[in-house]
Amino acid sequence: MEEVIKIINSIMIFLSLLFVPYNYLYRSEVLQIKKQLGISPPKVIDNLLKVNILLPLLVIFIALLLLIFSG
Amino acid sequence: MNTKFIEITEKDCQNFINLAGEQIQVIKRQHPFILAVSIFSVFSTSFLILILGSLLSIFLRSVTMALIFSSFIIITSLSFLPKAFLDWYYHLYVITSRKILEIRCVPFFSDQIDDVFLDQIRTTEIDAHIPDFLHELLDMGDVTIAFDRPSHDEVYTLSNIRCPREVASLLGKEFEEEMTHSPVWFKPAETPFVARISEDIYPAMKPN
Repeated sequence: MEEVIKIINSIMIFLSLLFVPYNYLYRSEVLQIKKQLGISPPKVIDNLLKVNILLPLLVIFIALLLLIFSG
Repeated sequence: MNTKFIEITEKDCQNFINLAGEQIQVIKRQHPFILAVSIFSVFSTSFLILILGSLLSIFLRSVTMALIFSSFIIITSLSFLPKAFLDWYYHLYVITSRKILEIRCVPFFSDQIDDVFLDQIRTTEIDAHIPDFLHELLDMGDVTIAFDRPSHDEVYTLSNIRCPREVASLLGKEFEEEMTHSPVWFKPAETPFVARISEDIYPAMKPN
């Protein structure tokens, strides 16, 4: 049972890690479209895109701490 | 500026004017209901996966797993939320006095820009189509522009836009004016032909 939990947790952390490059590339693509069309996205969405790059890292850090302390 | 027909700011409109004597007539996005449906589907899918994850965590009796799973779902839904919005935001229908343009940019996935110059086509039909009660209630529908190019027929659809009837009516009026002056399809007006008989050419032949 412990092994199964460990595998599922590792998969979750790995998938969360994939969102860091995805969100970074996504934002750069949005900035490129903004430059081409001259239409900027709303401020809220732009801020959310910035937050999304760092959020997975923060979550992964907390998850790793949880895993370490729970043994 | 009429917000019923032009749904972006005046400053942004200038980016679409690049031909001589061009004037913006319609710039529309899809109805906000389409956006609401995408956002709802992101949240409902996340919620369903979250429930499944919670059940699995209860079954495996692991609090750590429940926390990691919830965090993953939050990250996923927060990443797909801007995508749902920007897919809708960068899907524009632009109709000017010189061209029809559809821009569909899905950042990081696909780009599609369709451009049709109005002086190279003949518009044959403009239809507004509101398929059912829900669309009628939300004033949402399709406007179909049928035109034939010298080589082939084509249908251009502005799908799920707001106020389809008003847009179709406006486009009908505007295109009628544009097409009348189109040199590809209509012969420019000339001086009327007057038939002459031999007496007009040779006045001497006129009987007294």
